[in-house]
Amino acid sequence: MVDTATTHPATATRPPGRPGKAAGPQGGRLEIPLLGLLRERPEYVLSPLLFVVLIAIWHAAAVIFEPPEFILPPPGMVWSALVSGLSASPFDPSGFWYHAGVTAFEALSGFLIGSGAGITIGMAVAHSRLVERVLYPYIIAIQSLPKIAVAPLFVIWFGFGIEPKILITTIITFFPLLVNSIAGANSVDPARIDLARSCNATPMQIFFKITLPSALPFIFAGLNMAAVLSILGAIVGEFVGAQAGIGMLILQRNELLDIASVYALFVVLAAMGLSLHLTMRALERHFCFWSHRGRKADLDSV
Amino acid sequence: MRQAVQPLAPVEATGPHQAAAEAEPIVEIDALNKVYRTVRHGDVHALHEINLNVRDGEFVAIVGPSGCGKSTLLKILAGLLAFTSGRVTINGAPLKGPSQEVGLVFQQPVLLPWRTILSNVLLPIEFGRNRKRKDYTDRAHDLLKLVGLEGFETRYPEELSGGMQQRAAIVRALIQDPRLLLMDEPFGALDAMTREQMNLEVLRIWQQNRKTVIFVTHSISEAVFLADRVVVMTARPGAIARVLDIDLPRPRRLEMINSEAFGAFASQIRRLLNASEDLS
Ligand SMILES: Nc1ncnc2c1ncn2[C@@H]1O[C@H](COP(=O)(O)OP(=O)(O)OP(=O)(O)O)[C@@H](O)[C@H]1O
Ligand SMILES: [Mg+2]
Repeated sequence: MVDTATTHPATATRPPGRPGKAAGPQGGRLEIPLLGLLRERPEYVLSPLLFVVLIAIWHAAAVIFEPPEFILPPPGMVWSALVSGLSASPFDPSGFWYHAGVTAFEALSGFLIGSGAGITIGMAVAHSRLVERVLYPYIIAIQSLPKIAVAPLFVIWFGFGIEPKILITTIITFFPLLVNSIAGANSVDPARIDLARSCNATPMQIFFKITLPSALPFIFAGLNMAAVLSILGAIVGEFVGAQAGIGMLILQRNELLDIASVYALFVVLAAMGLSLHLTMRALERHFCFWSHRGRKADLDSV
Repeated sequence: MRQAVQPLAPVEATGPHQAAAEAEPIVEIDALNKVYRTVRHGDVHALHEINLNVRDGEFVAIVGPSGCGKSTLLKILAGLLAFTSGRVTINGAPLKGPSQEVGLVFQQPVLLPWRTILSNVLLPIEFGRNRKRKDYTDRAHDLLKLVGLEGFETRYPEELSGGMQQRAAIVRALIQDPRLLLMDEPFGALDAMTREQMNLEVLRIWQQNRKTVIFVTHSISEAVFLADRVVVMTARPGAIARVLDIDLPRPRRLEMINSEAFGAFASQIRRLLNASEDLS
């Protein structure tokens, strides 16, 4: 795949680049909406541009310095590895989809269990000041531990299946939600509670109509953090010992010195992380629109 | 205290349009004391031997220095705070916890940002006993119209100005048609002009709905402008220094603020407040 260099969409579409022959009548038609976009949402133009530039630099480095392929394969090779990995059927353990599915399942299950437990226990802990004060030193102590250190232990306990990976991911995602839920519940404006109490609200009503929604921005901050950690947990779990998953595949291809595939698997991981992140952001926009609104309005007025 | 305690004998004949002075008391406070027990500052005697009767349909304003226990008193009346000793009766029944008969307005609007104005205003309906929201939506629309918030039902609180938010908070307090409206510095956060507007609005609501209002404020002129009686409190411990009858004619108009009688009331209250400050 030499295409990436010769096509060079960067020079063809970059508006301020060359005023010469590139800006023909065709280029002109292209330029006006692009300029508008550049003014309104510059990131939509600049982010892809940055990507293209980085790939170009990578390709140039591979061509000029000719490093061994097991150190820096050219982008074209990585692309081919990615395409061949993704063209296998999802049930074929030699392709990427199968392993991506395993890793995604481990990460998502752990994420759901861990964050669900973190929110529930966090809210329960915050409900009682005494319980919170008693538990807090332990929570902080455990939180500062690198929890992936227990991964080898889990493999001994539960074997090489998906269970130890889910468990690691659960533990790793539990703590950000525990801590953020406690912080969120404590941040509720006491006047909101007074308001509900003055209307004879039951404790359940206060929780579901006041405390939980008030704490949502904190909970979502925790969920965003946990989303990233969940993939990390699954990969680390697989590194320690696994029969399937992207982490296992990375180790395997690494040993075969098939570095282009390793890079291609990084791309798969990045795509997984990005889609999880975007999903979380969409959920946050939906449930927490009111806390985003302020920030967005600020941006608009600048 | 100086106001005559109404005879407890049934005076059924008094209709709602009778002068406030002849109506029966809706709030009776007898020898009320509140002591906050704190670890760091020891006991704080926030309210000391408070005696106050508020008649049905009356507008009572409370002024006093910061920390004299005004909010404490309102929280007790709202059933949010237990008191240390004394007797409080609302509508003839001893006070025990929050009641539908009491509406509360805070210094801040305290609207929930994830709910629309209409949904915020209907919030009290969702609490407590099982009630249907839709039975109250007509009333909500009427009240929103009354305070000039027609057309803002589906907006979110942050799309409204501070004054509009506080109006929504007042509607929320009125949604269950309480007989007693407690307002704790409701307009303290608003600018002077909006505040005057809101004062007129409160008087209009009070006159149309025949509520009893207890209104806490830092502003002497606001108190004189609004109230039938002004309760002047002193700090440390929070006690009632004097209760003044404001016999300015109704309906009150903004021009009255410049009248001689108004000025006399205002300076009398200021003297009372200064005297209590000199003592402490
Ligand atoms: N929860 C509490 N614990 C301990 N002390 C309290 C508490 N709430 C209020 N106090 C004390 O009680 C006194 C009366 O407080 P309160 O809030 O009723 O005053 P206030 O008249 O409303 O003042 P402001 O005009 O500033 O609102 C103050 O000295 C205050 O420090
Ligand atoms: Mg106060």
